[in-house]
Amino acid sequence: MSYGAWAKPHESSPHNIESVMVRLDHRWGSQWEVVLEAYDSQAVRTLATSLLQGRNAETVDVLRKRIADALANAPLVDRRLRELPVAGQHLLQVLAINGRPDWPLSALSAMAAAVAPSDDGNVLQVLIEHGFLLPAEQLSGRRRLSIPPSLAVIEQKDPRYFVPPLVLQRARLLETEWSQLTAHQPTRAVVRETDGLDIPLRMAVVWQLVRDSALRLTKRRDLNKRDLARLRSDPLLTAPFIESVSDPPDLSLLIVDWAIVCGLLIEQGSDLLPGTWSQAWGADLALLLAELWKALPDLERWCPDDGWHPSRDDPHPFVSVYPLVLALLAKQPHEAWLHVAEIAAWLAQRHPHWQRPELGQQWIGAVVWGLMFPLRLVHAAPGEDGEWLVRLSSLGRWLIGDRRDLPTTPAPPQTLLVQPNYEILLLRHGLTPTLITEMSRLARWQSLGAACMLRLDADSVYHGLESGMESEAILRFLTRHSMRELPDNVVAAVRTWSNKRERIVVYHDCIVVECATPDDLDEALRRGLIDLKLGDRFGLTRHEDQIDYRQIRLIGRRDFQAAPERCLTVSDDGLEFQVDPARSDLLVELDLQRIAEPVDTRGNGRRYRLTRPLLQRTLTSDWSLAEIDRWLQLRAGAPLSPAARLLALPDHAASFQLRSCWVLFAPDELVADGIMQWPVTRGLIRERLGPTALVLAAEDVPRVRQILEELGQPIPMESLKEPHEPG
Amino acid sequence: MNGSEKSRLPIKIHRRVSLILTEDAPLAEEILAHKKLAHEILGRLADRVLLIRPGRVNAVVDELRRMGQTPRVISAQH
Repeated sequence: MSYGAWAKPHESSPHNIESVMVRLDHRWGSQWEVVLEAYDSQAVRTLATSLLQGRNAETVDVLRKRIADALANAPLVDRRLRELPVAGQHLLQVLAINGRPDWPLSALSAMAAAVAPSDDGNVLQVLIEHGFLLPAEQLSGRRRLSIPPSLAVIEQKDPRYFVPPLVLQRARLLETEWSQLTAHQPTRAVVRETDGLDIPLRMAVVWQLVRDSALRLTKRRDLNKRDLARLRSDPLLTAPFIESVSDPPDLSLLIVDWAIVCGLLIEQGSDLLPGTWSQAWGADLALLLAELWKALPDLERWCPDDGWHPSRDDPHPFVSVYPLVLALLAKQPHEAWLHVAEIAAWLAQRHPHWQRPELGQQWIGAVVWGLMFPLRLVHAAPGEDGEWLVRLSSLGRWLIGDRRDLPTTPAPPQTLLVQPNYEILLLRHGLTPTLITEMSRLARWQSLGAACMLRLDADSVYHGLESGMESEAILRFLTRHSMRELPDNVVAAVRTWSNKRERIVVYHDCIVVECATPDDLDEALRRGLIDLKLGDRFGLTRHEDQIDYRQIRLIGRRDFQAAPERCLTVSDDGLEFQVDPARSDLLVELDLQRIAEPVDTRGNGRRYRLTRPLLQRTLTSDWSLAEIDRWLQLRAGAPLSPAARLLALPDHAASFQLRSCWVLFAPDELVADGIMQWPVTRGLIRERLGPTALVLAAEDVPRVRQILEELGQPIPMESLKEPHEPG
Repeated sequence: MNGSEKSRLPIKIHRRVSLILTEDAPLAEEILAHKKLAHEILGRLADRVLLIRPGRVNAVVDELRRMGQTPRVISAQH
């Protein structure tokens, strides 16, 4: 789940934990009312019994209203919170300290067990019956929700629950007693704090890496071997943190998993693609770091004890460990320095996962020094025996609600240096999430050190332009943040690279307007119906709503992606095609022009005539006779006409014969049949040309005349004509 | 036909068209000469305009980039 719903902080409003929580909980702010509406009557009465105490005689609708009022009534919520069992108070306080309302049931159960080991496990049921934990499932239609009599009967695998916003806010103020760990004294007065940039910078690098080449996922949602190797050896992603006590295992893969849950990378089928930068990337660094911390429990494939492990069957225990560690640190005195091993021991004694003694406690280093320290949530100080001590930083204090003002560090606006070799030196003290985002869009990260290095090239600038930047805006942006004037060659190069992008423009799902004549197209352009001309009769517009229908007479409307229609009519001579403008599409005339020439292309009844040269050229290049037949069948309802097929014959393909002969024309078909059948005459007929026309050899003419005379049917002399001799 | 009918332009609308517009005709020829790209091109609407097979815009853009081109992609949604 992504916490991408941060509003950009308003400059005039002070940052405080309540306003931040309100922003964070925006989604849940209305969801709890939806759940109340969906609860069945039994559930409503259960809630009323616990929350309203003794006002259960009303109708269900009235009770719903009263419960909703109660959950928005701070004094009443405070009273009910104080009446809860200690385990319930502790659990809600852990959630409130972390500022995150929604959790899986398994994590809630583990947290409840850890904060109150003596509890009988009934605390979650109590919180649900108070309406302090509500089901976080998607509700649809009129489906009713019920409260299970026991969590053991829930069939859904690890359902999620959330705490209503006011309950979360008020639970933070509860006075509860927590274990106090031993405070240690640092051996030297050295307090180390990171700048919080290491993880955001690596996220930017992984976003860029995925933008250049998508990562592939296996069916088990693991990364494929090649990508795993690539990520594990990437010099930028695996570079140690600048201010480091102990780096987490599989650092590059931690970054990938974190970027996924923050929406910076998105899964699409078997690909991992670049996602969008959430609004927190446009806000103060502290807000971004808080967002990253809150997203941490959603990491499924990476965990602190064994790094990348995507194929585990059950959720790892750290979903509940992160909030417990922060809560334990939060409940210690402000200046108390703790030993991380003692935090681990405290958790190992209480957390259900660590009931097996063979499980070690090495993970605590990865959680505190590998995650919380680079997120600037904790300070480090040297302790005895070379160990490091920990306490919450000012950002950590702000996150848990102990500080009202956001601990911001003003960043100087001029923090980069563009060099003539196209390298950009970026000083970390001026880096902001916005700057990281913008630089990632237009330049390629080269190194992440105390000063970061990026490089501008045609490809990176192209990506910047594709993300919506304009060349002049890129130059203005670089100038604004640069400590020196931009080198002339860099300015010129950015403009050149930008212009190169205009050489090929790909329009995706646009509108093509087809006019009857070039003059009409000019008129359409003049009236603003199209943005630009595409050839003589076609124009382009990006939005259909740009077309003023009062100015046009719509001849037809075609979806380019729809199946082709029959839209050609063939003339009687079989060689001319008329295009039906209402049903034609953009392709039909393009294809037609491969075999036919335009005869009349003015107006709507556009006509083309098939010519032998065109037909022959097409047949010898890329269209076979069978393909043309198939195409014509689709577009005209019939294959090539016999006349067209005659024109399609290649040179010298047909063997014609020209012969002189005598033709005997019988008076009717019946007589001709008789001559063909009678054995005396049958052998004298060479060929029958038609119903009454019979071919004779010249030498057989006297014999045929004689036979017919003997039959009393003489052939008159005037009918004898010499055959026509070809010139 | 009255005056207002005359002034209304007879046009036809083709929706959801994806196309490539090149700077000049030789560049369009170059694209058509590219075997993989030619397969994705349905026709040449004009000297500088190539119609892309439906659903293949991303493949065309990727292939153009592999060719070393830097196409500007304009989507109707933007």
